[in-house]
Amino acid sequence: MIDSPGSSAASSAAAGERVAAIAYLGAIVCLVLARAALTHDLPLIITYAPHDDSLYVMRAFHLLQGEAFGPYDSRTLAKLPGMSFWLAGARTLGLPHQLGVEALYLLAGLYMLSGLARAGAGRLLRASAFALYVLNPVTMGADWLRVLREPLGTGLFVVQLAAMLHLLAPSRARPWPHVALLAIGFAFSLLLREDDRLLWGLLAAFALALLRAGTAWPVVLAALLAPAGGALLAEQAARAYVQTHYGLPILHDMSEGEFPRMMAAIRGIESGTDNRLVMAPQKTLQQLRAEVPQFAPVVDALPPVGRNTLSCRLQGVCSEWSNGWMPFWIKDAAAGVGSTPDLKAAQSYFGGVREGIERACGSGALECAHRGGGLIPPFELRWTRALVAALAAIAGMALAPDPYTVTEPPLLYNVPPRLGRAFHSVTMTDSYDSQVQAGATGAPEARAGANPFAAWRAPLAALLQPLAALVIVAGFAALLWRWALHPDVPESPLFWIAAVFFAFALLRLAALAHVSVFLGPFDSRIVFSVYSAALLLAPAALADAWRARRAARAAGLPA
Amino acid sequence: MMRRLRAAVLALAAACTPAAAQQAEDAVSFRIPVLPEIARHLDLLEAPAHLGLALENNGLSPSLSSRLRVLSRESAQIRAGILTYKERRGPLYRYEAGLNLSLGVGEASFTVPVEVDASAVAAGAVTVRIYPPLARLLPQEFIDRVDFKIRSLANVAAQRKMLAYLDRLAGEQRAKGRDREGLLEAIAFEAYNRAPAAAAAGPDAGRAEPLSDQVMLLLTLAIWLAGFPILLLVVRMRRKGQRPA
Repeated sequence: MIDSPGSSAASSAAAGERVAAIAYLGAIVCLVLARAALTHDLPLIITYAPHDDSLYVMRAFHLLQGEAFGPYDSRTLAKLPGMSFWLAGARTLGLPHQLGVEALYLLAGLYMLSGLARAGAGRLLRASAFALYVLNPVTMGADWLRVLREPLGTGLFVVQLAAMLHLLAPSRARPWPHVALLAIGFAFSLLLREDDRLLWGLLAAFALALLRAGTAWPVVLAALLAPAGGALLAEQAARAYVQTHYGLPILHDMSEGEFPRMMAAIRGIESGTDNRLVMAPQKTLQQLRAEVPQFAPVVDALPPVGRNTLSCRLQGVCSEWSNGWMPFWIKDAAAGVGSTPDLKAAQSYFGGVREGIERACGSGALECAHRGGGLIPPFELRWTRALVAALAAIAGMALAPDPYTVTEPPLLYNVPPRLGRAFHSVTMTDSYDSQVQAGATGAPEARAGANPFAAWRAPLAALLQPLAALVIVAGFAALLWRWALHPDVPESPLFWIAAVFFAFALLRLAALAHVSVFLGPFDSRIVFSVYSAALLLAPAALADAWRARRAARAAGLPA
Repeated sequence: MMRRLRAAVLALAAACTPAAAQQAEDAVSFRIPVLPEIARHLDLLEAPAHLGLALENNGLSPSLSSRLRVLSRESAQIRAGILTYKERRGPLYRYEAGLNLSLGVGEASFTVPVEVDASAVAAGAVTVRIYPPLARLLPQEFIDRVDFKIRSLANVAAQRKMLAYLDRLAGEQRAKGRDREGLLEAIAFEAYNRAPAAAAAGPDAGRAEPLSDQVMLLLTLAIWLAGFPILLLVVRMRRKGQRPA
């Protein structure tokens, strides 16, 4: 039998397609293996950080023993509970924390790849984007290895964006699995980080994209109501849990309840110190000491200011404590003098101090002005220069976050043995040896199983960082260019997901810059999620712009 | 608290023992594995203050909770502890480690001889000997813990980092025709510049700036924040109207 020229061409095209598919799969597998080779020796980094790592782990430790988050103190509710729920949940399932975070990150990336494929992105584009994502420098750095919220939040963020892309891309497949993943990722993220409430903005941008993309109404409704409903339900459940164990439905007592109100009242007292980084000046505290007697022991217990303080060394605020520390010191001091033995008493105490301040303001004993009711004051135009500086800093961070690449994993952890054992127990890390840590067997000369590829990490990060920054900038520029110059070319799902992502990224960066005007600069881990997602979606924006240009040319439109 | 207490006990005991008791068998010794290339910079041991600053310049602060205070080239202080370089005899560098205790009605000082033996640095080891009184009575657990702390501070990664830093600075100074003095000066200058806010002791960061000083900035921002999106929108509207001929 002789093939006709047409069928021969078709079979040759099919064979070419098979080869391309196999090459693509091979590339993805090789990238995953390359990551494993590069990072398999990186251990969990155990850190004594009572408002971060240690807090999450100790709360999970108590959760696992059925003691809620443990005995109440000034730090119990200083951060949202999501990270501790994750740690306790993973431990219950027997999943080591580091493996869980790593698996979530990789699976989220693969899920995004399938979304990109559904949206029509070519294999070369997908493989290139995945290469940037898998070899992401920040995932080989110290902050990625600590028990922090950002690595987990990054995986969840990419899952949400991937689910959105699946829902934006036309398909005969059922949308419900993606709706479910979006709802889970969204609901859990809102319990993870305080600033993740900005994800409501992402959901709003997604709603607009769904409507503009002409998605069927049932899908639109499900894709919006499921995450919103899931988030509200999860929050209410978490509040009920906290109320059951601590007496009040407060998830984060730094931003809810009486403490932020008291801090806002303190900020409103006129003291002559006009500094955006200082909400509780020393002069104000001395005034309060006299006018609000129940606050005097707290004022007396506060650490002294000075040139050796972290406030001075890190933020240049030497004659005061800056906002990055003072609210925590006040809360700690109140606990230290015994005024806040439990959540109810704490709320009552902080509320009492606030009322005392208001009375003193009302009687004229203190001169006061209203400067907002929360921990962060409303923005004033005179802080514009500071806002621009903060925006520039955070934008630079988002383009090239400092990865703190780990070249040699630490041999020892500078933590108390009891805390180290709690980390070991909760995270199931295999890099903590109680005997070695306690000094009983002498310090190890080197960690077992040295990685021959470890020395590649730093050069690789140095190579990829500028490349990734270039891709992100080019992706954003391509998105704007495509939107302005090709209005007559129908928008693709790639365009919509890139637009939703970049709109959210701008919102998040602006919000973080606003907060850092008052709280001081953030660590670069604050942008891990946006940066990692950009590594996947900036190439998508570039590809969409290229496709739009070709489509315009084909239609005889100006290119 | 326990560490401070132990240090105080150690120092108190030191005061009761004659300095002549500096026999090797009375010493508490710590053998630290080091990179042999460290030999290039051993003369820094004669300037412990600069060595401390060099560590701080590399994020390897000798103390995480307190700032290093430079008293002189030979002497540095952290909290109540003072380390003073005394003399060098061949590969032996001798120091005096002191503790100033505030007793409420006055201060008391106690010192303990310390020596660093760099004779085996080429073989990859440096030995630190401390001569506390009644050294043999010190519990082994305490000695192990100190050893553990020293090793964790002087780990290989930290040594490599310091070596690269000192090689770079020394190379820069040699290129300028300067040697050790230039290196010490460069370390001190970098330490000063590293914390400008703290060193300058000027006004706090974050102080208010009059709105009138920011008028140009506000105008520029308004142009970009409003002008650029409007420009994009105008381009889009114009392109939307264009149809193929």
